[in-house]
Amino acid sequence: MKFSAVLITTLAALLIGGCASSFSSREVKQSASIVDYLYPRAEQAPKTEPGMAYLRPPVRVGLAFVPTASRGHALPETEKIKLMERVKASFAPYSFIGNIEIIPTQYLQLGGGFANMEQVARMFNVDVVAMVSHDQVQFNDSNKLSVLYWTIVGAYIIHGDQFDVQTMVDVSVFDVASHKLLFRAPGTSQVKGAASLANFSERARAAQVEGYNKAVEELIPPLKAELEKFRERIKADPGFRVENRAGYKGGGSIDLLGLLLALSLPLLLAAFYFVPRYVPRYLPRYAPRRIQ
Amino acid sequence: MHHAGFNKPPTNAVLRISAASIAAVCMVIILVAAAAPESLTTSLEYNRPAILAGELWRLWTGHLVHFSVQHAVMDGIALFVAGLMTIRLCGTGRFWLHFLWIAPMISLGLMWWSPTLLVYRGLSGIAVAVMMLAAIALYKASAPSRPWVAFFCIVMALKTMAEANGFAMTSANLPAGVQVEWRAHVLGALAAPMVMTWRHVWEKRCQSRWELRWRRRSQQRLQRGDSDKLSIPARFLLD
Repeated sequence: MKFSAVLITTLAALLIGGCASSFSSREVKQSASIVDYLYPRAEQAPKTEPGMAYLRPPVRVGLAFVPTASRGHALPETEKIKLMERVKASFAPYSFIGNIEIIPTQYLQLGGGFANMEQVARMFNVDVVAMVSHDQVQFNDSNKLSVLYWTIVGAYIIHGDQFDVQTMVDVSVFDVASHKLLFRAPGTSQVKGAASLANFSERARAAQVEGYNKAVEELIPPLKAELEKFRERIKADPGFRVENRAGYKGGGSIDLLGLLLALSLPLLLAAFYFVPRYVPRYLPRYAPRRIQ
Repeated sequence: MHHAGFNKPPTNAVLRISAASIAAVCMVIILVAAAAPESLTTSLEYNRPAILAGELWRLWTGHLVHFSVQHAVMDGIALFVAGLMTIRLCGTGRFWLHFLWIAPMISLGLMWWSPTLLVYRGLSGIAVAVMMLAAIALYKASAPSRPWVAFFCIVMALKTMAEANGFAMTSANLPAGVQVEWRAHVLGALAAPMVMTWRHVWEKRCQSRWELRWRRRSQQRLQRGDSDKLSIPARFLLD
């Protein structure tokens, strides 16, 4: 009797202690690679075709997340749009960048390649597409405190599970017409934390989103720096040509007809305002109206 | 002979000073176009993102910088001629006050109407506004001139419509890649009557406020028994 009681208690403790590993896997990975999207069936290295990239400021930019196959742990679309709004805000102060369109991931096909990118660019009327690729790995481990889960209450109070979320976000900017990579910039982050068994998945999910947020924060300064470098580079690079788009710059200019019209005003003033004052009374004349 | 809006016409000395002030402004504008470094011109031009980022001076200064000397000369002559007329008809103070109001009105109008226009330079929007001010003042001052003023406005409208359809004659004034911003001309033409109406309403309001205050004080003096202190018109009106 005594032996069987000890055995049952030991088994129960082992089972409860192992709950963490039962509820969540040790490593969760989600990634979306720009190479997989653009060259889905590439068996050889893609050939770069020499060609001219025409940039017509204000350049219309599309911003999209690279589509990913993993639905289970994928970042929600609302979070993706929030992140893209932040990237969009970092582009906004530049006068040579026009409209920035956020392209929802549903518009992109998995492994769609440049054909899909061109379709979407036509649909959203953009010249350049900035693709956000990402790679996130979440490591889940139990710490020594997890042994207290057997108390049942401990599963709600004790932070016996810990996570380590490592994220890399990369923005690659492509000219749609020439398929040229204009520039790219990366951002990385690491988020560590611990949670009790009961709210582990909730905390881990929040840490994933935080990881993306931090990585995008890290991404913005290098993105701006790369953009400035690119502006300098295209001045010397024969592969790029900058052409002004109609309506980008405007001049308030008076032409010859405008000048003639301006000069006609003093004639009108003289004819109808000053001359009648000096015309003798016995001659027919216009009488200017008195303004009180 | 009274001129529009003023009880007394400006003296010759005032007119000379006013003409000299407009000429000086036009000369400065041409000099800036000829000799100012590009960095200065760029920091003064109408630049939509910079204005949205808080550089509000560009709402005014964007009209004072140009793309070329020829561009500045043409705009300067138009402003000088129309400005002289406006000063003769409306007065010097009002002319410069209108100038200060019209400049940001055109810039804000461009921001609303032409969101793709990122960079703008030129005085023509204000020059058109000043031409319209002169035309309106002449229309008010002289009834026989009205058909001619109306004809002038129709020609201006047709010219602007032609510019909107790409038939501008000013391409020689502007560098390659810069188009005539006809919307600035339309906005200038609209800003002129708006500013004149606003001035009319404001002056009426100020006048009526002053009159009310004067009447109230006179009545208070009468109630206190200080009828000796009442002015003659007050005695006449309050009796």
